[in-house]
Amino acid sequence: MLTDGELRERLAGLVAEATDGEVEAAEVLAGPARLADLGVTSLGLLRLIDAVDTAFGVEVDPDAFETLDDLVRNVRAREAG
Amino acid sequence: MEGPLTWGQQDIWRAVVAAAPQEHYLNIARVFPGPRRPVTVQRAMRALDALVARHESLRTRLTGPRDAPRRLVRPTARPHVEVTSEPADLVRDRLAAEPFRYTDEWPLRVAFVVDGEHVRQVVLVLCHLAADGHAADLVVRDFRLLLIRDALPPVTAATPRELAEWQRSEEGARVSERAVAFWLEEYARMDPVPEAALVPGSPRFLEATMSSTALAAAAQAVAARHRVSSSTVLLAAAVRLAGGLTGQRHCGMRVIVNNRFAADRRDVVSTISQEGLVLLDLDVPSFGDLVRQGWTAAMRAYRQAWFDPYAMEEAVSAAGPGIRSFGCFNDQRLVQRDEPGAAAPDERSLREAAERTEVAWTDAMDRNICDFRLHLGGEPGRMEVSLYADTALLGPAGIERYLRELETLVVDAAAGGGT
Repeated sequence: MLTDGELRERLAGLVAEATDGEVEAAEVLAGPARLADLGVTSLGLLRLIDAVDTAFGVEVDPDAFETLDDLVRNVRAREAG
Repeated sequence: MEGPLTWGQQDIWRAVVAAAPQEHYLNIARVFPGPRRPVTVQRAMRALDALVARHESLRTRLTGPRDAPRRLVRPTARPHVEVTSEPADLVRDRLAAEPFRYTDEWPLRVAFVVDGEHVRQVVLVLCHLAADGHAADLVVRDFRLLLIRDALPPVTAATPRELAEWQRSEEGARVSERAVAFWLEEYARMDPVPEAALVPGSPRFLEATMSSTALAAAAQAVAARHRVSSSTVLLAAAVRLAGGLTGQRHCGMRVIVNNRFAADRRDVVSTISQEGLVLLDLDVPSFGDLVRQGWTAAMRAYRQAWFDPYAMEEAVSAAGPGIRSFGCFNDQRLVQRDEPGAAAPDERSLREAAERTEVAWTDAMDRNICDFRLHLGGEPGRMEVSLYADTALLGPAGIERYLRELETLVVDAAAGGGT
């Protein structure tokens, strides 16, 4: 299993891919900002949710996360469940 | 090579059968300029051959019985091509005016609009069984590149045949069952839609189109305030007005979803858009609350729009009398981004812009699969909203009133601030 740090980096990478690089992984990792505030659109969120589903087999509710930390917690909780 | 239709193709085929012989409205037309360094017709023909060789869906016809057609893919194809000096818009309208002959015509009609030897514009009309709007844009992109290059990098996206195979796999069945289960949960919350009660006109289905700069500006302003897309704002407004017509508190509307969120489906040249279901509880204190609810509902709906249409039809048709979705919402601007940081317009300029809004009658048909369809398009700064309705459900005055009220609702919300 990935460490929390590795998981954060992996998820930040998925955010960058979901936004075609418009939001960079480094920006996502830099602080506690909401993904929407960094420029992740609804389309980006849908791509991200799909990518998380593919990579981790975890379906995250779009309502359940606003920040990278929320997303990490969600993936961990669903992995455990 | 023969195979089953994909889910997206099955959806389109149902629409074709329901509207035949007037299903030409499903055709997808594109016009684009020739390369800056002009190319000859001969060069353009080579590019077309390479395009058709590249995309399986452009070499596919239907075969078999009308109630259960199958795809027939050929290794080569030469679609209908014209070389003309007519204006491109006229050529486009002429080529798009007739339905495709699904079993003996390739799903692409092409015209090269020439000025002497050289191709100035290219007109493409695609059969909706071969492409949805996004796929049509991908075909245009490839065609433009092939006019100036001899070869393109290999296609990495799934082919229609691979999609159809996946859809018939265990995983595909699971995905479809999950979507059906989601729709049934939403249907269980829905209030009944009353029967259409008006005497239908002839032709029975009418379309009016509203052209409005006020709506474009207002939708952006409300979207920015609630941190959602303008599409969500317009969807919430559309469902609220639909509920006003039906008297439903829990009103469901179908939305066209492009189904390209997964990385391996983004660049598929095929019809993969399908319908999602957005159900809203209209008993909320303010329009702003409805917009926020709409965002969540739409995000969920977009994830559950990938399913076997016949399985879905069978499941939801047993939901009970009057329990059905009301109409279809198709925002073709969905992939566009809203302009970030656009200054919010003041109320006076919005009201003045609304004075200039125009509504025109743009289409009429005798048959259609859908009794109420809203189509959003236009260009940045000016929205075109078309409402296509069964006159047994909504008469001509009602159609125009719905469009005007959609604008008023969103303009009021933008002008009202804070709600």
